Amino acid sequence: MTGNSNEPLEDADLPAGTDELLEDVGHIPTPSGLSANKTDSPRRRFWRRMFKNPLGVFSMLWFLILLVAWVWPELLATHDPFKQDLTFTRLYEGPSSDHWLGTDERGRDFYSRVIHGAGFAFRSILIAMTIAVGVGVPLGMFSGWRGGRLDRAIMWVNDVFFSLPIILLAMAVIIILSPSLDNAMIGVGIAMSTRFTRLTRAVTLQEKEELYVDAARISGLSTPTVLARYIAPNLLSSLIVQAAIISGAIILIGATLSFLGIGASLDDPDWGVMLNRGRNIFRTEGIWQIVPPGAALILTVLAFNLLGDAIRDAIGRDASNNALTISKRVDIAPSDRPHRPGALLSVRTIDVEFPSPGKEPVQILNGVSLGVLPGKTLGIVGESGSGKSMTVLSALGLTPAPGRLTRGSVQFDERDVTSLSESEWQEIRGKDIGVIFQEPIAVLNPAIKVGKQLMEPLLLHTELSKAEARQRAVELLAEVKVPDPERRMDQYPHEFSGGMAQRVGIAMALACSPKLLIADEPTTALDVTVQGQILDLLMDLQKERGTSIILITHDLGVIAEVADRVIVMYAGQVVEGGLADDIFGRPRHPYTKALLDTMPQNHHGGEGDDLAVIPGVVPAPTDWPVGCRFAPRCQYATDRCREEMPVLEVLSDGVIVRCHHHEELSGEAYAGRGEVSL
Amino acid sequence: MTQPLLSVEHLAVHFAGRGRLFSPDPPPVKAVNDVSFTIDSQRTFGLVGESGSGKSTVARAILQLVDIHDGSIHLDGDDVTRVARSAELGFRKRVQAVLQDPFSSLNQVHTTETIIGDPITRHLAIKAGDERRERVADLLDLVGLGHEFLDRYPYEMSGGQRQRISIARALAVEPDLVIADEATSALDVSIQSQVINLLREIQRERDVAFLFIAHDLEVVSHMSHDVGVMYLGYLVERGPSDDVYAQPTHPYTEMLIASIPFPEPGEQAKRRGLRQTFKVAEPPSPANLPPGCPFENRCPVAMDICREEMPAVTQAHHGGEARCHLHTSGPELGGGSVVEFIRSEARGNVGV
Amino acid sequence: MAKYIGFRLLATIPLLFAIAVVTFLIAVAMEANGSIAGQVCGEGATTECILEIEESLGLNDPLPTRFVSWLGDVLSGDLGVSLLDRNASVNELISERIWPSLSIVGLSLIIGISLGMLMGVVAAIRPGGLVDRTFSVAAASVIAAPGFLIGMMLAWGIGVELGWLSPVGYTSPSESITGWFKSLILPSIALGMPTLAIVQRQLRSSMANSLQSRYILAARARGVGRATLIGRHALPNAMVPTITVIGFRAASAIGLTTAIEIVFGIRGMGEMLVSAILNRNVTVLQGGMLVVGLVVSTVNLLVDISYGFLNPKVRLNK
Ligand SMILES: Nc1ncnc2c1ncn2[C@@H]1O[C@H](COP(=O)(O)OP(=O)(O)OP(=O)(O)O)[C@@H](O)[C@H]1O
Ligand code: SF4
Ligand code: SF4
Ligand SMILES: [Mg+2]
Repeated sequence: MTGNSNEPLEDADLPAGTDELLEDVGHIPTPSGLSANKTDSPRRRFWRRMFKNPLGVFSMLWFLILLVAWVWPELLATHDPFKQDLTFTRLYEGPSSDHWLGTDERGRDFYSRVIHGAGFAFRSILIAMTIAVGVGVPLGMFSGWRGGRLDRAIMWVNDVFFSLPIILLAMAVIIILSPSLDNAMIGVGIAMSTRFTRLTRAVTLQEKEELYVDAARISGLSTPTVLARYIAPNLLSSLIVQAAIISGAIILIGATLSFLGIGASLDDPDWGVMLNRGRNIFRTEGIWQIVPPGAALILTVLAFNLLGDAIRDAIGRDASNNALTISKRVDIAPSDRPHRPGALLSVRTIDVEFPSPGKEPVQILNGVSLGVLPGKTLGIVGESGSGKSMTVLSALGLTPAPGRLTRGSVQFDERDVTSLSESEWQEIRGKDIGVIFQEPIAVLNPAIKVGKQLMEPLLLHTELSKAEARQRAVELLAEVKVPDPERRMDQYPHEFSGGMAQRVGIAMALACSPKLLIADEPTTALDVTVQGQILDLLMDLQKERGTSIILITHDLGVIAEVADRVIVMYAGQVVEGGLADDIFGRPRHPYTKALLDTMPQNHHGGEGDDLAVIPGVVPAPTDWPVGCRFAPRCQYATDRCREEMPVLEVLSDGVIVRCHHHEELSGEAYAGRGEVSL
Repeated sequence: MTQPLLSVEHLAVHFAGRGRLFSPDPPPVKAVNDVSFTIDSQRTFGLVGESGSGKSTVARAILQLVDIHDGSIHLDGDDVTRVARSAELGFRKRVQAVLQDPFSSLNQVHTTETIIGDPITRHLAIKAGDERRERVADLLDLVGLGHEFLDRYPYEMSGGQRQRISIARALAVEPDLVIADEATSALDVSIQSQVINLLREIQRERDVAFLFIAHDLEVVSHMSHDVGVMYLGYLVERGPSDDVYAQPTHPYTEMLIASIPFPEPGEQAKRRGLRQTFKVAEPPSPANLPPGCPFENRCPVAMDICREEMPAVTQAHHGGEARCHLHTSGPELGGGSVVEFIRSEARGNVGV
Repeated sequence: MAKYIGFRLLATIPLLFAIAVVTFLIAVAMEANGSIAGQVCGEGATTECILEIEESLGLNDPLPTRFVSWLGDVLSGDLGVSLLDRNASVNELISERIWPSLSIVGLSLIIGISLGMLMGVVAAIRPGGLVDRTFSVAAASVIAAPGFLIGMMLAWGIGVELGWLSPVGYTSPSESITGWFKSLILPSIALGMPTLAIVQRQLRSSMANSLQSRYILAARARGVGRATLIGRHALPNAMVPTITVIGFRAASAIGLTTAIEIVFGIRGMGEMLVSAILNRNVTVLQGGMLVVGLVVSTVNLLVDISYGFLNPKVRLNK
């Protein structure tokens, strides 16, 4: 009844636009392009998914039969459904070769009556649906588009009707007009229109805010055009799903009313009426009389519901994995490289792959190694899709399912943690390793007070009592400079700004004084002025506590500010690594150099000073080249680069680099870098 | 002096609060207050500021997408503050936009040809067909995309490619002014530079003016001839971009500059020291602005008067304007750069 | 929170008024559709009968006067007398009929919500697993079956064939508590099964959504165990949309119990309303509709209040 944004599934589940979109914003790294086969249009994919879903196929077949039964019942029926045979022995006859399903209380052929019943069901749907869609969709569109007080008033009235039992509304119409199935369906139609109003309004409100609607208006398109050509198509898929499910409900309600004797006339071959007849005699004559109409009714409603589900699944995204799903254990091939001595966390040549149905699994991390020393900061930099987040998640045993670690070894604090069980990991995560994420508000549970969430790791991993944990949590908030910590403890996440929420995230990660802090794009979602303050906070805390930090970012400036060592990732591989001063002062890999050159900070010319560019785009994991993965975009690429993948070499000054030509390049072509000035 | 292409005077946009059906409305959100600037034809004016500072709202006001509370907007001397329905078509042809999000600013259900073709049909009266298709193909050439993109849907393109389509759509009707709101912000670093270069090239070839909006001062000053810095709905500084960058006349501008991470450890360490002189505090809510300077609670050199009185606009040394009391009270900088003053004050505070 | 509840309470008043107006208009509409008195008194009605009924309905007064006096009666708790049996007051009729109906609806909701939530959570833990798929198919089939059909099957199978419980009738708790409970079991299961399936499906789906959230991954990265993740982190968020569905279902259960009562031969509100419709017994209809409307509004109020508990945003906005 409230204007809650969390609409329930049955009423306003909005199938999301496209998979790709969701994969991109849902930050859990999914190899983009894995499922997005370029030639596979949504329409094609929709039908492919529909036909692969056995339940969807079942429902479509059932509708085919019903359709025939409705349009041309004589084709299927064997008898006239109204022809009575009052011979005594002919009443309540069991199935026979003449009467396949037997006869009813007047000796009428049961099978033929059931077949004719389909017509009543569809007629009901037709009447109720015409009213429901005819009233609900325009009203919802109008209300959502118009907004303001009128919208609120319309929705209030709508919600009142929405919350009344449909049967009751149908009864009211029957009372006012007169008992008949058609009249009842008028009432049902009005009741169901409230569902469509809600759904349409929700979609319209959402689409109205979409930038493409602004874009259309900027192009000078008129409001009706925008509604018809832009909003309506996006509404259609949700409407179809909703209509399928509501059709099932309409049949159910029609049957109930007929069963009560206030729907279809008592002679009609309507399923509800037949059930009503069956009710009078099942205690004496047995259950048979309710089986055929009951089965027809159930199958039809089921088919509608399954159809709705199938359409939803075929449009929407695959929900079969969640953050709880622990990725499948497979044999992990050991790494051939020794761990870095003295490192707090050392990752050696890990591979991560995602199974792709019917094809070779797609590798999205390939031989990634890294190490961080106690008290030091390692920066990982790369563009989106390069595998930064996946690397650290996999090192923590959090590889998102269905992805899995297939090679390599991870050592934390002198202990091999490559194949720890989930419960062993629970001892380490939060206690020895803290994690900070990119979207500071989204990682806080919206239903739980911030203070409680902050106390959680303390209660889990330390011996503190509840009161002590609360005390400690307040101290932590003060430590991360959240003003007024006592009051803030009892607030909910949505009352925090992004910057303040990120401070809470830091406090939470540091609550148990972990040895290692992993920060995945901790400032990307924040304003630049707030970003600086968050970085300051991290650095200060590191100085005080001696925590090691792994900081992931796509911003080389942030790396320059905080990192001691840096690794640069491209397309699932480490392409360069070393001390920050070396990487910024003398980049050896063409990609690192190109990245630095594209930054406007390194350009301060006037008119003619165009930015350096890296041509092309980061390829999707399915399209990674066989040779050097950067070759298609590299200005120094040779035939060798295109055929043979370079290996990671360790240079004399400790820098590692994956390029065939780094020696020649770092000589002349790179000369001049290092004298960056403002 | 010729007339500016666009002139915005004392623009204010307020959003009415939205209460429940039977309760009074909360106070309005003052998203834009007293903003004035001009754009000459074939020039670029950049607008920076943090999230929620009102940049997009200024753009949306110019584009007639939100109601204006106060002030006026002129295009080539014609008052277009509230464009009449009859005149809307002409206005729409002259002012176009490239919007922030390359995913949602294109409708997923149409192909490139329709997306770029629709405005062509609307404004240039060229019906769908070979001629329109050819025009769209030419535009694709202009933005550096192959003709195979004509029949592609947005979901078949990368973020950078979608943004190029948006640019092509904006240019399709040969506008005089293109408003680019965060046109490059959602893109990867390597793609961002491609799009920035493209915009600059287009300006050279097509003689359009840009209003370029972004939250990254570095990108904005690279793109623009003049910049305006917004804070909580106010334009706190405005001037030629190189001068504003080098010699800012408002403490907030200085804070922005100091906050941009620089990809070189030595230089970055310097910026960091400067940045730390600014106070950690939450900006006030635009629904509840303080009577004085909105930046007061974060400003390292705030004075008593700042808490009480809204600073007036003063002439700045670079020819632009600044909205800060420092120029008329306290050190009375008289429109000069605030950099030295803030640094010496900061040193004073630390006791060096 | 108190403020929020107060606000919701206030918001119920216009709703109740709206229900009263609609109920009143039912009588007006019926009249427009042919003389009620004529229909009630039957063919060959005496003028006496007709006059008496017209008088008791106040049909000769102007509409607003009628509404005011009707509303006054209703507010003072007088719903009038049945047109068919001039000795039976509607108040008594309803107070006799409402308890069986409320008992069935109440028990059915308890069964449906508790089991439905349990099964929803279990299914969401491993989406696509064997348990999940079994539950999904079962839930989908149950949702497709109307409650009265399930009722008939139960009455036949357990009542007639097995003879474990009586397939007809209702025992009042004043007669025998166990007898009362026994007479409720079958009807409540019949009405509760679809509730169970609906709650299961909704919770399963919102749990699946909730478990995909970033905050679950973040909590897992903090070392939070599985049980806590499901029970304390995912469930409260998943409950918000589920509560809406439960409220919606509770309202429709109030309507659907009509058919269940008829299957089990229980003389409740439903049976009363249906025969009042067929007999065009206006006063009983009005009284019945009004009371049902009141119950539905109470359910909605409870739903809104539980929103406030579950969803901090709703509460704080006001
Ligand atoms: N339709 C609206 N209704 C109410 N308030 C709004 C609306 N649009 C914007 N605002 C408010 O107006 C203020 C300015 O918003 P605006 O979008 O212009 O900021 P911005 O500078 O573009 O931020 P960003 O960098 O995040 O895009 C903000 O406080 C915002 O919440
Ligand atoms: S290996 Fe070749 S293609 Fe790859 S980065 Fe080096 S020079 Fe470029
Ligand atoms: S007016 Fe005062 S508070 Fe505002 S920026 Fe200037 S000095 Fe700082
Ligand atoms: Mg914006």
